[in-house]
Amino acid sequence: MKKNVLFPFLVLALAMSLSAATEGGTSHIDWFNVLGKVFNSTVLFGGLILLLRKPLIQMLSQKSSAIQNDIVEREKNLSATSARLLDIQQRLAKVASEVQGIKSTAEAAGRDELARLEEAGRLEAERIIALSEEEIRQRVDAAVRAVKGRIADMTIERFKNDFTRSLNDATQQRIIERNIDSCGDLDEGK
Amino acid sequence: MKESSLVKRYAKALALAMDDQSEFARVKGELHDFLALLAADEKLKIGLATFLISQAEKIIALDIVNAKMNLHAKTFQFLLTVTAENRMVYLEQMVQQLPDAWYAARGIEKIIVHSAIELAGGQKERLLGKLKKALARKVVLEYRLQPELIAGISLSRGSVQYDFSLSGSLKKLRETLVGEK
Repeated sequence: MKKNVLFPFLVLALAMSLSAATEGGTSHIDWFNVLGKVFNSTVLFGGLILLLRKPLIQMLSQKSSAIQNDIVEREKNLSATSARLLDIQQRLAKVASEVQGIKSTAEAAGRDELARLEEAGRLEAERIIALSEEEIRQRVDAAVRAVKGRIADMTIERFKNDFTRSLNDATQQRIIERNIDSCGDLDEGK
Repeated sequence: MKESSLVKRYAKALALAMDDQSEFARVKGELHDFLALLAADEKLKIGLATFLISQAEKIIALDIVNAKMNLHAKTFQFLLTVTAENRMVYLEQMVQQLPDAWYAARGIEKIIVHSAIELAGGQKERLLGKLKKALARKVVLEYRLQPELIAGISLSRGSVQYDFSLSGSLKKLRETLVGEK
């Protein structure tokens, strides 16, 4: 694995050195310099690779995992949101019918309540009329009784006065005798 | 109410102790005389009623009264009992209740006769005879004048009233005219 990584760098360093020598038009190649550069490059890149390879791999792996999780989470959210959207759309579709149902129910209840109120009002009116008639009848009866009583009182008073004026001992005795005869009717003790 | 019941109990007990009408009349008369004596002698009345005088002294006082008035044995015994029970304050009410207790004990019906004028002797006898026959029991009549009856009589038999008077007839007439009956 290490050879596979280092080999491209070595080839690259060698190619760059050869190119530089060819461009100069001279055939002289300072191999020592080339080797030095190759060596430096090898040390530099090899060290960098050795130092950074694991953290880079780890970082990239974590990043990749995080991105995958994020993608999964977003897919979940998307599906939940889609479900909610669907639900809302369905409910919106029902709203109109629900409103119509509520309206119909309210109208029916209103009609029933109106009928009930009308019936209650009619009964109450009948009751009040009956009570009024009864009260009027009682008042009339009371007034008639009062008039009758007054007439009776006056009549009896007049009779009493006339009778008392004409009352004598003989009449008294006759009444007492008649009363004594009436006492024979007390038969509870028999 | 309690006192009324107590008075009735004492009167009933004395009435039941009587053997006959003459004994009852004598005892009743003696008790009336004794009440007259108490009315005349305030000290004796108070002395027999108060708790401050001992029973022995009260008995001595009653012995003296007995010696002076020559009371019937039952009268004297009744006075001793009433004194011993400290009921002397109710004696007058007991004596008043005595006739009713006597009538009740003997099964005699007492009827109060109210009349606008005094009844003649023959009328009283006829009324008594009628009532005895009607009620099939012994009857005693008590007469009271009541001029507001105008004419006729009214009988009170316990709580029951038999009104034959003109006043009663006019009342009934009024009720009929007014429609109360």
